[in-house]
Amino acid sequence: MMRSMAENDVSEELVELRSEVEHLRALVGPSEDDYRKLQLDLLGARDVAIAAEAEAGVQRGRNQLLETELARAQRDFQWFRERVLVRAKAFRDRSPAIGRAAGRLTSR
Amino acid sequence: MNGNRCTTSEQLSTPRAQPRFSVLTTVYDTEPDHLRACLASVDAQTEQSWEHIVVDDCSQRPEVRAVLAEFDGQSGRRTVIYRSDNGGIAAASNDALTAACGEFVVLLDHDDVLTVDALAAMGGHLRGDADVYYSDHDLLRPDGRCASPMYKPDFSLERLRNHNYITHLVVARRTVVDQVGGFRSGFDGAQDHDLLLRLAEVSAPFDHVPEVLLHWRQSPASVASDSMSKPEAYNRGARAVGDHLTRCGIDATAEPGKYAGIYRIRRPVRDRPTVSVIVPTRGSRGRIWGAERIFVHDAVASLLRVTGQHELAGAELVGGIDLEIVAVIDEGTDAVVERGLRSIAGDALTVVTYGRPFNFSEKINVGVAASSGDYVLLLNDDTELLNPGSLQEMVGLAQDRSVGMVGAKLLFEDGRLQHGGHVYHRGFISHALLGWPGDHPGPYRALAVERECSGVTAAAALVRRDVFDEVGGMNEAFAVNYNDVDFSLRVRASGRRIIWTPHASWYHFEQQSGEHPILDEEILTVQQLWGRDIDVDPFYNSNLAPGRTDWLELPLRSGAPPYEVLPDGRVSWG
Repeated sequence: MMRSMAENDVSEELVELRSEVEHLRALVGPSEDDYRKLQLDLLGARDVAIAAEAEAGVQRGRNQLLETELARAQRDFQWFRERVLVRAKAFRDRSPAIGRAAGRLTSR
Repeated sequence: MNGNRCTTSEQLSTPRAQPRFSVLTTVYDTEPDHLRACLASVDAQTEQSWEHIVVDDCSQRPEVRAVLAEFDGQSGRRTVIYRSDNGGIAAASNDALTAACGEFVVLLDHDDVLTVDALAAMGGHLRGDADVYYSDHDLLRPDGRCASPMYKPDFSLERLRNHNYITHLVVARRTVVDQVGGFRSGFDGAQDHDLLLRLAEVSAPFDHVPEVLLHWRQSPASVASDSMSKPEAYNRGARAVGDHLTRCGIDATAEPGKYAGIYRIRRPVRDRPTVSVIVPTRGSRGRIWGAERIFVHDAVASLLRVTGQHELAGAELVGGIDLEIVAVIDEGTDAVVERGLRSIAGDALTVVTYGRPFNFSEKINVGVAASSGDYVLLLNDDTELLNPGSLQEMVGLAQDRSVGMVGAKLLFEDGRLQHGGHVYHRGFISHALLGWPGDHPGPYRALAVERECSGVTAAAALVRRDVFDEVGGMNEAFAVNYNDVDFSLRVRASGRRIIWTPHASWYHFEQQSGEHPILDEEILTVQQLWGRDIDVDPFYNSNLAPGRTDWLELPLRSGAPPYEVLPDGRVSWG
């Protein structure tokens, strides 16, 4: 009989505790869910920010590649200008007759 | 095939002295005009002391024999050998080697073209101590124009393991080629790379002649124009690299990498070393990717995140490395910085308080003195680990006693390249290819391979503890800038290599944790201390434009941009 009463006490206490846990979960649960959602939102926002930064980086990187190509073209033109155009002009200046003839030829 | 050596004197009408150079060419169904151009380029050499050994590997095209007959006897210095069966390029090359009499052998492919002064230029560089020489080359386009010069670095063993950057033109001492057994069968398509690796095992370093001495013809069947035309060649190349690593006693494997012709070497970490991560910090904060952060917290947490744990005692990474975090924190830094570090790193954290005016070198030295690891990782606080296996990659390289320091690929927050190794060229000190796209392989695949560099940034650099102690730590005369330049040059002066690897990577939010403009006295000090070492970079090239680190050639060396042959046969100029 006494054992049965003790068991009843434990059972009642368990029921009360379970009820209390349910009550607390009802209070806290939505906040836990909100917090998890906020964490996911934060991670998602971070990913979006990284992707946006990376897109800008792709464009900047392409610009850097183009700068190299532009520098290459400018150097080649500078070389051409110094070696060919300047010399051609110097030759024409030394030989006015040839220069006039060349001018007549190119004006046709 | 007549297996006797030195048949030249038997076949020439006039016996002569041993030639200095034996040019070796194997031929198989070569396009007749290409073969004609190749042979003519040898005949046109200004150097007189040469012989040309041509081995026809049983060509099916009758025009090939016609061209060989046309040139046979013209110069009086050519021997043509006709194989009765097709043995492959390695077998044919060995036949040529057997028949050669010269002191040096010159490897020339059947459709490539030498410059007229190629042998003379090589001859001018021959010394008593080097056994192997290689030059720069460019590409010979279908329209006959030369373009895209490849200006190579001086001998770089690690780079050679990652890909055959040497290719052509190669001249090697005959006795050494014989010593390593000539060309190995079963490596056709990668036979040159295999030979170079075996030569490197007995006769490194090679001597580099920084001149374009060969025009490498682009044709659909050649690797020059279409790197996927010989996929089997790259599998054999991986085997060649693997065999080489085994012969060198290096516990590593090699497999074809991300790009054709590049090999990925994986080195397991031995003996569970401890890596002490030295992080100088003053708790700087900033906004990265839209979120505020205390930089050092994210720097350390990202290192430990690979285990999925943030609070560790005796932090351990996957891959058998123990971590020790040594944070050198400025006096007066907000206490939240240290509290956060303790919650992240737990018992793995050692804090050293630094109470003197800012001196990066001194902070590093103080941090290393408080550490106990076999390796020290110098790490800026404004970093975040990108590749989880980075430390394993760096330790794997640093296990080689000939390596003094390992640098990593660093990216800006927008993904562009922040660090691809240092370049010290004509007094200009900078990072290679700064600002290029982070996933770009780089000119000559410079960003896709592990390669030797003149120096690396200390923002993320691994040094063996014994090396750090031997060179005396960081020079505190460089309080802010160029301390890593000075340290790198001292590591190299100790006879060790500095390797940059693309397989270890961090984000580096440079300048976010403080502005440190370069001072005039720092520039003067580094010039006074290192003069020539920052004028001539052995891992760059003297033919490249000064003031830049993007492998830009000097004027009018570029020719037209490289072309490609489209599947329908049309040519695209890119």
